[in-house]
Amino acid sequence: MPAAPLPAQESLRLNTLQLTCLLDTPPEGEFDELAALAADICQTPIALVSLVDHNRQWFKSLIGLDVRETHRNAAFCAHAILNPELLVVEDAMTDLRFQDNPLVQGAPFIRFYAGMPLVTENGQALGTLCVIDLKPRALDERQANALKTLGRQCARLLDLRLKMADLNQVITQSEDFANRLKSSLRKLEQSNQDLEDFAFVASHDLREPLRKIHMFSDLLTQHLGAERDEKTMDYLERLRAAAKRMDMMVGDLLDLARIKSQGGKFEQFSLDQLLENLKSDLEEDLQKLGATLSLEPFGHLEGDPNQIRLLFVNLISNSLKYRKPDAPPQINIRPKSGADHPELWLEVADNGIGFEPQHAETIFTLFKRLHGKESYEGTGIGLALCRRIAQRHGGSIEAMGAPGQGAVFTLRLPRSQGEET
Amino acid sequence: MAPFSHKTALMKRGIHIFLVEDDDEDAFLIQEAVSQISASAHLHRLKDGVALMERLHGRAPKENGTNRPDFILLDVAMPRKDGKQALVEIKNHPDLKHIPVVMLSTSAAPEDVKFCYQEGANSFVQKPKTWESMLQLISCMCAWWGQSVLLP
Repeated sequence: MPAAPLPAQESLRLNTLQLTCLLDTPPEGEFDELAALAADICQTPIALVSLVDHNRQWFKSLIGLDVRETHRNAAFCAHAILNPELLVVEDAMTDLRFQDNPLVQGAPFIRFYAGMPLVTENGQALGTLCVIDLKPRALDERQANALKTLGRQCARLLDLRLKMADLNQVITQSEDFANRLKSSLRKLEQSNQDLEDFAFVASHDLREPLRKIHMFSDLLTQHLGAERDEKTMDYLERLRAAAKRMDMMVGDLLDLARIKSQGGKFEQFSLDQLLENLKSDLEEDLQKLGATLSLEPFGHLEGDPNQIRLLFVNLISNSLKYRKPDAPPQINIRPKSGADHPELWLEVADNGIGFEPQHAETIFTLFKRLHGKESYEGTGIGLALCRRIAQRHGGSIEAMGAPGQGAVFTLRLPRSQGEET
Repeated sequence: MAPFSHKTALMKRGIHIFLVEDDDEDAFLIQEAVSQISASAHLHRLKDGVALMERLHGRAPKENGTNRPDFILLDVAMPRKDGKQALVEIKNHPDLKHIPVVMLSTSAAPEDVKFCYQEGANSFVQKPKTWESMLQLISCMCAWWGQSVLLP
């Protein structure tokens, strides 16, 4: 008995068959109906939807037979899948390929076979829709055409299964991806929180020894009394100045860490009222420098009013600090978006010394200074604080400027806050 | 402004202060300030809340013969039993709650300040940052609790 040769792309074919996820699954109506219709039209006692696996043929649907699978060597279908056309064996006893087939010689004593290969979109014949009779016979043209059509319909069902499998894989992959993303996000949030906690604790504990350095240098000054000379006093003064500077920096770090960890509740408030109050609080400083601060109406905002105030204090101080030596400072705070826009978008523009455009980002970096500390006081935290506050409110701040042309800070804040995260 | 004279608070009688402070330098500085200001003020240093409660309950050896100070300087952050726990115990004890308690803190976190006043602290002060302000604080406290106010 010659076993059927293997199809040309057998491994791709077997792979495609696996992807249908049909092997060893329970019977399903849509396949059974096609087999029943084939048996009815061809007037045969047996009809099968047969899938040709590695070593067996397995029946997804079977009419008139009670074996779920047979060995591939004995399978008529293993021959049928070698060609895309309908294979008809009118009398197995006269066909060399089948006359000593165990299913011909023994039960169920097959004599007639007609099988239409089930060819999927990728050109692989996974099995057949076949009809079988126990006596020799033929199909008329109408029956043959019907069997071909039913076979093609059955192949479309297989294609549908393959697409579902693809889709399921995509869904699984995207679910997996989403889960990994969520877990990374959680880790990131945790490490951010840890970092903020660390900054808070570290800055708090770092201040203690500094306070003592201060106290003991005071005490030493007192203790030296009349014995103090100029040099000793100079050393002590330098010691104090260094300790004071470090204390300021640690204090700033603490402020920065507090923006998130110790932030107040978000509430509705009038930004106009807040800025008016701020302006009158700064009146003395503004007058001293001959500075003008012009405000325009902005409406309401939801946020932490203390932090928003701190943000504007820092922006205004920044503009006053980096003023031109020969021109009175002018600061304009003006809206860039309408009062009904969901996002408040405003500019703080000054006529100060400006900066090189390539520094537009670095000026927001903590302790980053564009000038020596001899020329301008401060630790270089103000703008980092502004950005941190804007971010906590779901907004952003950017800077534009050119040397001698002043600076423009663009602030964007959502007018209302959703659930705070 | 005329310099503040730390010697204005002349003590009529010797006063006893319990200083509860785990930090040796801070304790040293306060001790130094007290001894510069008044010869009649006696500072008793205790290392933490546990030591304080043992002393107040008379289970620890008395120095200078008292376990009832005129007032207590109580550091907020300490190991074993911190200032807030000790404060709650003192202010809930019928024999102790009359003793004035002044809380000392470096950070003076708003929630600590609120908690301590709610639990009956008599004052809450931030630890001074300069020697001048340390002298001023200790002088004021000795004058206020040791002289100005009437205590039971």
